[in-house]
Order: sequence, then structure tokens, then C-alpha cells
Amino acid sequence: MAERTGREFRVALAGNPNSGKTTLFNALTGARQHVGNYPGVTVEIKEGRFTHDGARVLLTDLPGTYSLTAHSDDEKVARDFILDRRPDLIVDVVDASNLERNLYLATQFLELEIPVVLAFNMWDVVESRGHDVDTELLSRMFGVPIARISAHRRTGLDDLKRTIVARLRGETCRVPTVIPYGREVEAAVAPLAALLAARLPPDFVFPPRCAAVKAIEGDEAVLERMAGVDGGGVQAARDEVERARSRLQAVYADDPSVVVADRRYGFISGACREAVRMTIETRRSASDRIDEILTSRVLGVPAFLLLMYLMFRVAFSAGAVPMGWIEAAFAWAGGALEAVWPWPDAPMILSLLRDGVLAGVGGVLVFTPTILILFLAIALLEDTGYMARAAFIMDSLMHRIGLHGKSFIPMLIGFGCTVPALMATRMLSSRRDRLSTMLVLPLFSCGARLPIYTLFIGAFFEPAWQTPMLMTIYMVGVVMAVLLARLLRSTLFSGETEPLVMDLPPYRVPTLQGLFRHTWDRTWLFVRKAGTTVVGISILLWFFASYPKPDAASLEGLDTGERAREALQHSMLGRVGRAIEPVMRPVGFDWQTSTALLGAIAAKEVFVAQLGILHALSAPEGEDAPALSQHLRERYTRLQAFSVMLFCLMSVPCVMTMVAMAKESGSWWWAALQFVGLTLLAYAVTLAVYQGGLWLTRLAG
Amino acid sequence: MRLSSLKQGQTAIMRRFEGGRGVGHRLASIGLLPGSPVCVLRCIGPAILESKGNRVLIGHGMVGRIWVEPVRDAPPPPLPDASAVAVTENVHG
Repeated sequence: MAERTGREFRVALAGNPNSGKTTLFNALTGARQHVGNYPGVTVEIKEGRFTHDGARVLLTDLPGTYSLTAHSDDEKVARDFILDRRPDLIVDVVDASNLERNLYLATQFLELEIPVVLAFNMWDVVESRGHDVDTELLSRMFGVPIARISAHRRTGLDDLKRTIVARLRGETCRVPTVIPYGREVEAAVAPLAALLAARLPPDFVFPPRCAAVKAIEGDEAVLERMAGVDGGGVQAARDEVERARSRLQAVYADDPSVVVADRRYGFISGACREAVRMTIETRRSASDRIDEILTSRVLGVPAFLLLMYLMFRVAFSAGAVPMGWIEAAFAWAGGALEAVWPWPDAPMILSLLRDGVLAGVGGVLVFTPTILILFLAIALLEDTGYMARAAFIMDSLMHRIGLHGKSFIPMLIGFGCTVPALMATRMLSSRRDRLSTMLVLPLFSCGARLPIYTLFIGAFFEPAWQTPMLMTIYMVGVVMAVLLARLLRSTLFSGETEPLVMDLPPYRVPTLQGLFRHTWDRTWLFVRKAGTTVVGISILLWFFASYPKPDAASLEGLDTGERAREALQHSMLGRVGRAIEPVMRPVGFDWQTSTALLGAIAAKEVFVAQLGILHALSAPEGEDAPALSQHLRERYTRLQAFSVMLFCLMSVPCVMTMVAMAKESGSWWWAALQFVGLTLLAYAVTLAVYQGGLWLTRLAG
Repeated sequence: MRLSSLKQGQTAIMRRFEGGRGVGHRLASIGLLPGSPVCVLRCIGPAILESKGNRVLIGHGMVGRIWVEPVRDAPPPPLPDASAVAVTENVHG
């Protein structure tokens, strides 16, 4: 096999959500892991390596799944990986304290004709409950090796590695048991399998019997792959599938997929009856007692809101201190670069590096502490099991909007940063739900827009009105998102919401390692974007904001601030800003705010810096906010300030959002639609508010 | 009757599901099949069910589409009491 050719063994780690799969992956591979590079796969797949007894193994951690018939994008990734890349072996991680449901996935792996090893995880829990599981007997009944482990306590790992390598080398060759489906189903499966064996190419991803069972279940993966096979023979097989399905439907008055599932569970419970001695009683655990409060009709929502409030409070206040450090560090780096710049003849390269790259990357990286804390809080909520309860609490509300119960999780993240929020939509099962959530996500005002509100609210509103004003802006965003989501769901994405069905794991104490990994993985995605996408875009925007340069004569006699203003005014950005002024005037913008808005496409907080430059009140790097507020107060009305904030809230997602949107939705069209749609929405709303406000002022005046 | 008509704490047998083929299979893959006994732990629109020792969350849209047959004269599930909790606490320690 692989070993003789010098190749690594490829082993996939699969299992139900919450089966401890990722903990096992970390325990087996330690630090030797990285994100695998699979083009076209939207979900990051982690790979890691371990060596045992001379055998090199490349382990792939697949997203959790309940069944080989996939429902969500996450599950499709797991399924397609197994089907299309055919690993040498599948390790199915089974929560041994919850055997029957976890073995359901195993019964489907058995049919794939890929070697399987079952890792009975959480063995310590089984023992502590005094349950008795005869793994040797189960191993014989399923025809696969079984290893008892506890990934959490890191026990049984060597035994698992030994079992994996022995199976890979063919030293322990058990023949997987053929799951019996009962007379009626078998009567449909057997002829169909024979037909498929004759008509499908021998290297078809599903073995014939498995293909027959899956087709009868109505599984789209097998039907699609059959459709991809050339030749008229396959059409005959498809007709036979339809006949078999309707026959079974008539016999059982139930969907064949449910009948097949029922037979699999029948096989599993038969096996468990013989091999397992455990007492399943209606347990009232500590977990249930916590749920008495956290999921109650009366206290559930307040508890949820309190947790959310705490999360954002901590993220924004504790994040402020390190944010200051990062800002200072980048300012220092800019100054230092200027001080040591060895080529006085090339000031534009210095400007490119300092004002383009450093300022651009710094402007994004400055949010890292806040985002890190936010992600840590979210990891804490996920790892303790609270997120599932929050989905329960929010389901009724989300259902009314026409979104999935889990949609609120990306929305929550969206208050921190839209980019990771877009990634978080992968957990949604239907594409309709996912796209409608993604399209409205920028309306959940991200952390980068906060400096804009702080500036304008600070300048135009009395202290007593500042907090309500800020809340108003955020609420407008939420309300617009709700309305837009409803609109999308009744037009572009009409149809029923994918129902929420999920496992409710008991509360557990999260491990430090798990928390660290969850937080770090997401934060790193964000930081990496700042190092790649943002560098390129910063350079581009720097170019637009710097060229063409005004001639030297027009700058004579001006101080630094005025020169900067002249330069920006003269640049392409400034010109476009002036060009769109007639369009922007009805919504309360002048050419300065319009130009700053263009700059904000790079990153929202650039708006403030550019406004500073355009009013020639602060040098490019040194901020002089009080003077800017003073100036803004003299120049704009309170109504204009409110309009600017409204427009910034709703319009033009930043470049990082657009890139992430295109990547996550799989098409630039969706990113373009989002860009245009949200900007039109912003324009319409702000126009109504500004013109309405003007009219009211005239009435009053 | 529909699952949504069950009272909190009531036990019933799952019978059938309304809706597309995905729905039944989704429920089946998480362990809820026709014939499975379920106990409604909480129902406030969405519901939390208990089946064979597992807790399963069913969304608002789903609850009204599941048909069940209530189990008559079933003893009410034990109320949380300290002694029972002490034994089964810390399930996934």
C-alpha cells in the first residue's frame, strides 16, 4: 500500500458534532497541524501528522456530521472529502456515552468499502457511569476494529494509533458487516445494486450496494454523481430508483429515507442490546438545572441579553488599551521609517510604505485586540454549550424574520467584524438561509464604524444624548437588517426556512487548549487578511489618494496640514469625491464627506482620518480630534451629522467584506449585489431622513 | 396530535413528520424516528426534547410538523432533586 511507495497514509477523522473529534485531532497531532489547501472548499479543513511504528499518517479533521446524507455546507465538505478524495482509512469518533446515535454514521461508513476504525471516545464517562460495553463483541458485529479512548484525558491514544496503523497495513482485516435492511427494502436494493454494478464505471465513488441504498434514500450526492456519468444506461437506473422509491413509499406510508434510517437504528440497537449494559434513565443532571433558568420562557431572553451586553462591554473596554499600544506602535514605526529612510530622492516610496502600507495594515490590525476578546467570548459560549441554548432562545424571533435559528450567531459576530461573521454562516444548512444572512450582515454595525459615530456624536450631541444616539444608530442597523432579511426571504430567496434540528450537548467546562485554538484560529484568519488583502488594497487606495500630485507652485506658502488637503483634493480620490458631490448633496454630504466615504471603502475607520486631512486640521498621522469636532460643528448641521452616520452605517461594505462575501458565497455577483443593494438602501433611507428633516426644520423655522 | 400541543414534561411516541424528505431524514439522523419515545422538556415555540438520554433542540417551524401519540398515565418525570443530581452530575467532566 501507500507505505511501500513512500507515500503517507491519508486518514480522515469523522464523527458527530460534539463527539470530541477536534480534541482527539489535537491530542494526536499536537502542534504538527496546518490548514489544508483544498481549492473550492469554503470550509477550512485542518490537517496534521503523526508517526507510529514507522508509519507516517496525514490526519484530516473533517467537520462534524450526523449522516453521510449532508444537509449543511459543513456536512457537504465532510461528505465530499470522503467520497472524492477517498482516504486510506476513516477514523469514526464515537461518543461512547451516547452510542446508538453516534453509531448511525458508522453504519453508513461501513458501506463505503473504505477501511474504518471506530474510536470509542469519552470512555472515562462510560466507566464512571458504571456502564459495561463489550467492545470486542461490537467490533465483531460491525466488522471493524474498535479502540477505547478518552481524548479529553489523553488515554488510549497509543492503542488507537496502533489500531489505525495495523488496519492500514492490513494486519487486522475485518470484513465490514453488511447492514440488513429487511425484506421489502432489500427487495428494492438488491436488483438496483446489480443494475448499478453493470451500468456504472468500476471507479464510481459509491460501491453499487451503497449507491443503491443512498439512491433509495433520495440522497442528492449519489443522484448528482450518477447524473455525471455518461451513457444511456444510467437513465434506466434512475428510473428504477424512482420506481423503487415510490413502491417503498406506498408500502410504508413514510419516506424511504426514514425507513432506511429506521433499519439502521434497528441493526444498531440489536447490537447494543447484546453488547451494552447501561441504564438509560430520565436523568436530571446539573445541566438540566442550569437549563431550568437559561432556557426558561421568562428568564431566557434577559439572561441572553445580559451575556451579550457583558461580552461587548468587555470586548470594547478591555480591547481599548492594547488598541492604543498597536496604534502607537504603528505611528512609531512610521516615524522610525521616515527617520532612517536612506533614499531622500525617493519620497514617494517612503510615502507608499508609511501612508499606504503601514497606515492601511495598522488601521485594520488595530482592531485585533477587540476581535480577539470577542472571539474568546464566543469560543467560551460555544465550548460551554451555551450557543445551542442561545439558538433555542432566539429561534422564535429568527423564525418570524424568516431566518434560521442559528443565524443570530453570525449576526452577533458581525457587531465585532463582518468578515469572520460571513465565515460563521457556514454552519447554516440551506443556501437560501445562508445567502440571506450574509447579505444583511454588514448592517450589523462593526467595530470599525464606531470611530465615525464617536466623532460625530461627540461633536454634535450633548453628553446626555450620546449613549441613546449611539444605541439609535445600532438599532437602525438591526431594524434595517430585519426588514431586508424579510424582503429577501419573500422575494429572492422565497421558500421555507430550513428547520432547526440540533443536538443539545450538556454544559461542560471548556478546556484551555480548546478555547485557545478556537480563538486563535479565527483571529488568525483576520490577521492574515490584514497581511494579504489589505496590503494590496491599501497600496491601491494610497495611489488614488496621492496621484496626480498638485504642482509645487500651488503649494507655496501653505502649512503641512493645508498641503495635505491640497494634495488629497487634487488626487483622483478627491476628484471623484467632487464628481459625486451633486449626487450626495441631497443626502447631506459635501465633497469632503463624499471623498472620505470613498476612502472608507478600504476600512471604515479611514473615514475619520480622511475627514481630518480634508479639513486640513490634522497632519496625516497626528490626530487632533477636539479641533476636528469643533470644525465639524461649525461646518455641518446636526441633521447632516446624523445623515452621515446613517449613510456610513448602511452603505458600501468595506473591501475585506466584499472579498469575504465573494469567497463565501462562491461568486463576485453576490458581493456586487450586496455592494449596490446596500448603497442604494443607504441612499434611500438617508435621503428620506435628511429631506424629511429639512422639511421639518423649515416648518418649525 | 401535534408535538406543539404536548405539555411540558409530557411523554409521547413519535409518529410521522410533515414536510419534505429532508425533514424526516434530518430527524432520523439525530435519533428521532417514528416509534421513538420523546419527552418534552421545554416548549416555548421551539422545543427541547429528551429521547433515549439525549437532548434534542427542535426549531419553531418544526414543532408543529411532528405528529405524536401521547403516552397515557405515564408517571411525571422526576422533579430535580438534590440526590438524583448528585449521582448523574458532571456528565462530560
